[in-house]
Amino acid sequence: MENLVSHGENINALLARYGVKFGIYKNGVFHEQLFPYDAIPRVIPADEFAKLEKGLIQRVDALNLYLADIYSGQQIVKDGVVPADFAFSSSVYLPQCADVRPPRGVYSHISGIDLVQAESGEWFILEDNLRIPSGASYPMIARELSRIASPQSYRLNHVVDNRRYGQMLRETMDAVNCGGINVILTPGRFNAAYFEHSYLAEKTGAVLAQNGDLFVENQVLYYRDYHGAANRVGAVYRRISDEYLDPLTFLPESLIGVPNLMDAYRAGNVAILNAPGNGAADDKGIYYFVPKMIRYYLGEEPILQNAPTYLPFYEDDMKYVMAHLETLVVKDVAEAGGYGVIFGRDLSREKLEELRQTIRKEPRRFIAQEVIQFRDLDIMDGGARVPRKADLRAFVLSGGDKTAVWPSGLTRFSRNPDSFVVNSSQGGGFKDTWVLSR
Amino acid sequence: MGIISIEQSGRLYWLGRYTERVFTTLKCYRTYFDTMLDRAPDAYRDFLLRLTLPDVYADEGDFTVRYLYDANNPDSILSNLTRAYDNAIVLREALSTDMMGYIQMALDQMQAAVAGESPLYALQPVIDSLYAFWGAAGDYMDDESRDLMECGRRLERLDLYLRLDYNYRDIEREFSRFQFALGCLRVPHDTEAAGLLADYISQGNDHRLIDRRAIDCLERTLCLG
Repeated sequence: MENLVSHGENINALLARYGVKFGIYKNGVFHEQLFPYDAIPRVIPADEFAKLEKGLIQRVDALNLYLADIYSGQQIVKDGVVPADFAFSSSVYLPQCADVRPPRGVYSHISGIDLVQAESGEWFILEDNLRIPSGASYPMIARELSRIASPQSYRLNHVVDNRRYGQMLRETMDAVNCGGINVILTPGRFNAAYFEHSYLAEKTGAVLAQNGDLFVENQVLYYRDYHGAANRVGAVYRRISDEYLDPLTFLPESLIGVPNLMDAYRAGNVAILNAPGNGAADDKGIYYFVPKMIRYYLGEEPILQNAPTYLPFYEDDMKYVMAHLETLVVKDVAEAGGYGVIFGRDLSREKLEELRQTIRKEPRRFIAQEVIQFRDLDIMDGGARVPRKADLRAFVLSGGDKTAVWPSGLTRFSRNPDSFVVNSSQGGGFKDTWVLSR
Repeated sequence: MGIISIEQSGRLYWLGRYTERVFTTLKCYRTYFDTMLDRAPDAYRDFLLRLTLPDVYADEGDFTVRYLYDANNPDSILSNLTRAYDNAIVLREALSTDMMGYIQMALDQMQAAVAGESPLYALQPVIDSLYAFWGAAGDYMDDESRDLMECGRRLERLDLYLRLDYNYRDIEREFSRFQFALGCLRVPHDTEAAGLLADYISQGNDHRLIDRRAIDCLERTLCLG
């Protein structure tokens, strides 16, 4: 591995050469930035990954069952497992999706589950991302380039090949395809994840499309080619948020959506990956209920645990949060990307009191969690190994017959020694994630 | 890539044009730079005139720097390379990441050359990257996408050769390549303009300049995007 680490700069140079970037808006201006790569991989031994794999599949299967339930019979609410206040009050529950069964009954085809490993070695789930989780492309290409820079690292270590993600994604699209081509729908070049959209199109063989290339006629989605021919689309891996997807169903002012796409979807003529409305299951408030969902739908005990979480919505939890705010991390359920995360220990007495008032006023808006002491991972910083906070985004793919975990993942780390925030938009970097075969 | 949208067809065509524009003007720049060095300091004016570019330069020193690197000058080579990059970056799945890398490298090399004192030396890698980019097209692109890009490239080269009064043999050869590229395309083009262009070119020879109306015909022959 030391050989690989010595090639860190070379690998970063190769990533720059291939334009591996992410976009970010600063003061309203779009910038493309390189995503800093650290060559020391996160290493997950085979037995540890086997447990993670089982736990992740269990969790995603339960979340898919929850979505199917919440958009049809709502039995879990009727049985009092998830309160209606949480199931339906969130803005990401979309009534327009009620009673629409997606092809093969799959809602979350590509799930990005964020985990952290505590100092004890135990893994905790931090967040479920069931809408448009991004990031798989970075470890994919980093592995490709690492193997070029340091082949002996892979000869000497028993690392499971992670370069099949494109194939896995393609199989997932094919499994739910309703007849026609596979398309990746991107909002365009100035989206933060545009590199990933184009790279995944290349690796899956799907057509990369913008809304102007697509149209719906008689409840069927088509892609118009430059000869003027209409090519039927069977599956759309959309990288556009629900609210912009179809201006005739959601936000009428959307300029990046496809009019009547939801009609084609409702008619069962096209699969949309991930299904619209999935936010109803990855809302930070709903996260609290996922272990209960696993017990309710699968009759099993959760294999992977949530970080200890409190819902101020419940009186007992509110009391605890008010009493221990300075030791907790508070998250605004409407925010993402590392925004809206407040560590009580960082606040002055006045600011803590302000936060208490806000939580009392809007208890549904926040969750509070115990701060997990992450197991730090080493990164190279100016030639020295230094420990930094890191998380892992695992990618779980569901195509109908089976749910599978990609034997890799995106390990993000904070470059700031005092920070727990690992998001790329806030200056974080990434590592490859090695799953060992033995 | 398989299926090509209307927008992508235009982008492929313009990617061909901009990469060629950078390549040929960079090579011509070398010739003019050499001439300006010790014989005719204002030779760049002839260059601008031929390309119908505005003379916005204070003197030859200003030209040698700003024509290459001025990002705010829409006619600079850097601006043209940036346009090539802007087209390439939205065509990754048509080009492949490997091939896309050559455009990224060309741009990085161009930007790195700004600080150098020897532009002809510093910009050689840009030319090398463009050669590699076109060479990779045969391996990585499907035929239809490559033909669209190739047609743009051939049209641009012929246009520049006509404007810059390249010798007749070069023009004749490039015209033949352009015709071949046009014949590979499955899109309609202006056959009347193509016929007129053939007439103009067949009338030319080493001792007589080809009528500049040929350039107009060329531009009318094919317009994508």
